[in-house]
Amino acid sequence: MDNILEVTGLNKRYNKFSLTDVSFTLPEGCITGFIGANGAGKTTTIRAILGIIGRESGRIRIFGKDLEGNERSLKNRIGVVFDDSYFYDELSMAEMKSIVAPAYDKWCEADYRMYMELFKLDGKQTISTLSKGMKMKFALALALSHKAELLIMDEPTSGLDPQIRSQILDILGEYMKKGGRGVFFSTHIISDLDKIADTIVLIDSGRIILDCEKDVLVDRHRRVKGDISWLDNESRAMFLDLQATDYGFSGITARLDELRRRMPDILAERPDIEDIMLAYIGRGK
Amino acid sequence: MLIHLVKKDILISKKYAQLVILMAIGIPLFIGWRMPEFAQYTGFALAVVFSEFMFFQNLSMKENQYSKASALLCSTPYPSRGLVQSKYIVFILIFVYCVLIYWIESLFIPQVGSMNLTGVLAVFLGASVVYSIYVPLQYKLGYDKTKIFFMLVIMASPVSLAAFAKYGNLRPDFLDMIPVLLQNVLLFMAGAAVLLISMKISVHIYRHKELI
Repeated sequence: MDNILEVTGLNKRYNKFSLTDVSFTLPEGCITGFIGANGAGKTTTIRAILGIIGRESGRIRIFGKDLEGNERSLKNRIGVVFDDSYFYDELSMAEMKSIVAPAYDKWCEADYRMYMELFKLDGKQTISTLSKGMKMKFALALALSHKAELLIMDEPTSGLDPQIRSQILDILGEYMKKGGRGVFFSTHIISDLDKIADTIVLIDSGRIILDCEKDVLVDRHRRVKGDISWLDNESRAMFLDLQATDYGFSGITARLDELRRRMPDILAERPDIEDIMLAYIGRGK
Repeated sequence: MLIHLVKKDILISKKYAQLVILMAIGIPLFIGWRMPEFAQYTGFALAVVFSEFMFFQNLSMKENQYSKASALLCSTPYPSRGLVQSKYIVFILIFVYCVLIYWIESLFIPQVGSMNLTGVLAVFLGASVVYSIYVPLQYKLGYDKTKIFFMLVIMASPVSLAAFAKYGNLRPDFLDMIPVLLQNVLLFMAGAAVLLISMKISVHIYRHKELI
């Protein structure tokens, strides 16, 4: 399986925040969820990938080619959806489309009209009068109307009601059915990842903590519970996070077999992605 | 591709585009009617100043207000230099429009005055110099820090142009020795060169700018 997106050693520095050696890959045919808490660096990473902000160092390869030197041809193959209104709000949707569409060699007016109809959007309506959900749908219509092979989305479902979120996620699922595509979307809503993500990249304080397949991630970790008297310093070190009371403990671990050898009577259950994410972030602190 | 970015600039400032259309028509007529002694060069120059700089001021304000939209356009295949180049093309288009309107008015309304090519190109050079200084400064320092510049130009232009028309005779004597054709070529090339240099500087600044 080829990699559609490869980020290697991305560094970006601000006064009070920096991206440090951010590296990950997006395999072809996968939906990759890019998760992290607010302020972790998700949006900064996406902006750096798209060249909207500069970077101190790092390499971005898309479809096997460096972004620098191939910007026009690569951006023709990328659809972008941002979390907020990245439009001229005083324009109508039709006017905004008339600005964006000519940029793409493979713009398909039929696809655009289909998505506008599906989303029940009227092109004559001014963007400032749209709700957040309608703006997101319009952004998605633009992104999907030029035969894009890679969708990069920055918190596309943030602030949306469950019905619209579900609709957007279904559309992403449909989009992936045609092969050779990829979706990279950032979110802090774990249930979205549960629904459609194949791989997960976790970022915290500007550093990549995890990059692996979702099912493997969940399989590799367990929430373990047991009696407090069973814990010693060595077994404590085997947990990513640990909550202990006077009577018992509960914690996330990736070393279940070792723990079972030390504590045969522990209870183990499959954790949520959210539990794993919080465990890694908490450990970092 | 550039034509769509020019269209974008006009679309996002469409109210001021309509104002430009009216000002280019109205200002020479007004000057010719109320201040005929200042008709001709002053009327035309004022029409250019007001049209160009008021439009660009509004365009800059809109782009500052919707800075995220510029970021979206940069994520498309549009080259970032195109977003800068369109500003200079709009400048030239507005200038050509002002010239055409003034020429048509001068054919039918003698009070507006008439102008020769040298006068037109002198105004072109003057406007180009001001524009070419302002645009890279704005890209470098941002709209908020530089908006006062154009406001000053717009407010000072009626008085300063009228004073220049009445008292100024900055035309050096040696110019009489240069054929008119050569004067026109030099004026045009100077204006074009100033705009080109300014555009290259602006593109360089914009390319390294953090859009958000």
